[in-house]
Amino acid sequence: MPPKYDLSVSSTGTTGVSITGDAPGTTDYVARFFSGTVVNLTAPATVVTESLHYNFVRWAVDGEDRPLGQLGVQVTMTTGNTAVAAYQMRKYTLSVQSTPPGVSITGTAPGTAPYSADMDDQTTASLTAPGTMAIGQSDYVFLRWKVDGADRPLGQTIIMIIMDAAHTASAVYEPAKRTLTVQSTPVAGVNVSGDKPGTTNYTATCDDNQTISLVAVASTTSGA
Amino acid sequence: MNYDFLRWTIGGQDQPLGQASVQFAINANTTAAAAYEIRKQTLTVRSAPAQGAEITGDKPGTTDYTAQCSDQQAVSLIAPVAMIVAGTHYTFVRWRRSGRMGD
Repeated sequence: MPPKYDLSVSSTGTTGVSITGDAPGTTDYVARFFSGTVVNLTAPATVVTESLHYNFVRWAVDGEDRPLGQLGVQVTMTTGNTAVAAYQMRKYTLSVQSTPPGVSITGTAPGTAPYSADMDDQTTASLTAPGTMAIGQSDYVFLRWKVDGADRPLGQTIIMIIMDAAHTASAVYEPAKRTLTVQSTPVAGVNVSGDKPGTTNYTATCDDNQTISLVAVASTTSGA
Repeated sequence: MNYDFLRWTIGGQDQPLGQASVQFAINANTTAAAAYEIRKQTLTVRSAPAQGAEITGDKPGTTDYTAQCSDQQAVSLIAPVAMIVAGTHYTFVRWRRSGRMGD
């Protein structure tokens, strides 16, 4: 009768993993087999522990890594053997964008949009967009966040996103507004054409750094 | 009253005289002011059959001469009742106006 040896089955990253096969059990546990026995073990691809998702990474048998993602493993019992199933918490991609691009975002997933960050399952990502920013010579004012295409409240620069799936957050800006006052002297009521037409005296709203053309009439008549 | 365009002033900066079209980038609240001036009219004062009449009033001179007036400006001219030119005596008869100021 060959001797029996211990097969220690454990998991890293999370505990309580249900292993199936010739030595079923819930990690961490020990099974005994005769020397020379080939033991098949199968790990689940995903595990949910306390609402957190974990993905299987690989087995390590007697300290030797097996191929990534290979759920099944064979252990030939020699002396005391170990089989370790490695898991890692599921990660989701947070994509951060801005219009226009180039905005520096702060918070738990900082970066310069557009960028992406891998976040652990169920973590809360905090993103803060600046209220104003300049790109080139143009000033912009923060308008709102959009998360997965849905509008967040106007002017709310800070958002929290629970990473229960991949999400996309977009910081939307609009050009800063400038007031153009068009006057004429010594007579008012002059017709001006161009990008901001009107009859003096009047005001018009323009985007910051917008190029404006104005054309005054060559002559005008006043009833005075 | 007629006015002719003079120049634009953009954000306090005068633009070239007579340039009615301007283009600029707006980087702050800005005022664009179009300056006009009252149109100038030329008054030509003559005398016949002899020149050299001494005209008084708002635009004095010795015929024949010209003067610049503002559009719609009222101008008074006074001709001498009599004058002597090269030994010849002349008596004022009438003023004759060709058109109205501003026409």
